[in-house]
Amino acid sequence: MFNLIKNENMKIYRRPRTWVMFGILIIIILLMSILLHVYELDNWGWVSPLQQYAEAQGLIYYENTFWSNAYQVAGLMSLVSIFTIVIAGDIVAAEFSWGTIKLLLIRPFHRSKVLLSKFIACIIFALFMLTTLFILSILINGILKGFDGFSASFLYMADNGEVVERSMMLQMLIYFALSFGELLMITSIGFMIGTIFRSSAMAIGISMFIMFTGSIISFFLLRYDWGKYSIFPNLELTQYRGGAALISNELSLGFSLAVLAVYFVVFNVLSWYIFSKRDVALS
Amino acid sequence: MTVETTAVLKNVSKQVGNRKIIDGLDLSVQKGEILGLLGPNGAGKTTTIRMMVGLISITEGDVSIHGKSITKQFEQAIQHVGAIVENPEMYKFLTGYQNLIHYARMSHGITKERINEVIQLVGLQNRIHDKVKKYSLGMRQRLGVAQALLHQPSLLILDEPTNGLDPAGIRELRDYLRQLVEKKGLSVIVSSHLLSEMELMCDRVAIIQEGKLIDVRHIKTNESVQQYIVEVDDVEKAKQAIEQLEQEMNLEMRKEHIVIDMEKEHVPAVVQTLVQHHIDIYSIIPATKTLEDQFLEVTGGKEIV
Ligand SMILES: Nc1ncnc2c1ncn2[C@@H]1O[C@H](COP(=O)(O)OP(=O)(O)OP(=O)(O)O)[C@@H](O)[C@H]1O
Ligand SMILES: [Mg+2]
Repeated sequence: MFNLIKNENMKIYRRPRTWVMFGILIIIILLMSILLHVYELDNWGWVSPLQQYAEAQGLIYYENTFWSNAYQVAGLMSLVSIFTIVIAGDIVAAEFSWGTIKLLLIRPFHRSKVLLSKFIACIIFALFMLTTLFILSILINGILKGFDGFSASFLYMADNGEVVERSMMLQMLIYFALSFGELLMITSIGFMIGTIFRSSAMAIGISMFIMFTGSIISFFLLRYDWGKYSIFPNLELTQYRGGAALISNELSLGFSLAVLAVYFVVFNVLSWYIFSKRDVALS
Repeated sequence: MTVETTAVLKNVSKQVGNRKIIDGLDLSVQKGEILGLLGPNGAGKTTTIRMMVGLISITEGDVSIHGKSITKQFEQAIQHVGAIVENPEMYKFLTGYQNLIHYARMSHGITKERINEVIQLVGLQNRIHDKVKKYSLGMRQRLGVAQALLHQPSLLILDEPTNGLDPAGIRELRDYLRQLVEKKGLSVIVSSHLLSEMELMCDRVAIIQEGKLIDVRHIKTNESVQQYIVEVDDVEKAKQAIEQLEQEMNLEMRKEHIVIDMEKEHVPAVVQTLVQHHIDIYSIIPATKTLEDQFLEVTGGKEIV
């Protein structure tokens, strides 16, 4: 099994396009950080209530430190999603279009193991990219602005009106974990479509469509009672990074996680079933 | 003497929609033999091979390799098999060597030495570190053979392995397969369009048409029928005369000669009859019927279905 994952990794990282993606990500992180640093927003002396609260408590508020920009640059997570879709949608479909699937499946491994190794390789890729994003956004913004205020606090207003305080480092980790959860779902979607249709273009196209139109579709679906059980309003887990959901007060992190868990199982069981049963080369 | 059987196809059928692409195939491969699958385009050779290696499901019947069912005990059955199915597609963005590493990782105990040995064997040592996208068809075919041999399988299944190889390459492959079979007791199944090639390469040839097994012939035991081309002055009269012999022989009339399928022993009798009937004989030329002729005869030279 370990060897299968090694093989999948070789097939991902020996392709130039993978490094082009990393290159693009790094360049955009750099550009965004520099732009944010140079054109710092001038809020004309306006102080937000949370900031007033922080000052009253004697806390370092994160918006006054490099964390502010780092937190914004970490929002490039959507770029990581796009690249993850490309990898996940392609990893099964490409073997079919290359014809290499035939040689891959005549080895002493059940198809489910081959599929699992591909899924794991996608997850590793997603983690790798996400880690790159978070580390670089902290590092570059820290270097630009200085690491003063490393122990700054993140504050948000909870549902009951109380102000919650946590360290910015922890907040970044939470953001990272939520992003990862989102990537896990996106990977499953791309993976499933790629497995069913054996077409990379279709898998990448459909997944991106879901990703980009997700919030618009959500607004329509949430008019109905059952709408909140659809995948769209729940997919964007990072909306919970500042406490409650932005899109509807009926949703909560726990609810979204439960709904997504069900979709996760359904998508992957479907991929597995179709991949295991499929006649290779006879449609 | 007991013959060890490597693989058995038992009443294997494949149905797609209402069409039976493969219909009740019974076939077995012995240890140490090269079995050819011969059939016109669309006969079902590739489909048969796909079922043997578990790439497609089997509608009816079963394939077992060393007694293990390919459907029920896939991992145990397939570990003995090395195969090329249709074109030898490889990862083009990897080098030949990386491709082999990829497949080596999927079997147990393949050393670097073994990989190098196989590379030498297929003669790719000079180009093995080039990307596969720079390979010619023949080079990819060689790499395909290399990946099939890597884990020292006891059953080698090659779908049109000579496709793309130059004459020297074909010759090398043939010699190498023969060596493997004789020294290591491998069983080999090859399919090919090159009929003459099959004659040189195989011990037995299974002829498949429209998904059915039509005939299995031994090559080496020389079952090939003798044929004589007799040049006479009056073809029609000669035919009547020979038919009076009441021997079982196939006659074919041409413009100035008559083609007779018969054993050597019957030649004097035929000559005598012809002389008795005052038919002038200009020449008698013996000709061995090639497998190609037999093949066309059996399949009736039909068009592709
Ligand atoms: N995807 C498919 N769906 C339905 N029928 C198919 C499919 N692929 C092949 N066939 C049919 O199966 C039959 C056997 O095809 P197969 O590829 O096994 O022939 P073959 O003997 O390998 O031919 P060739 O010599 O051209 O390689 C053909 O009649 C073909 O039309
Ligand atoms: Mg074929």
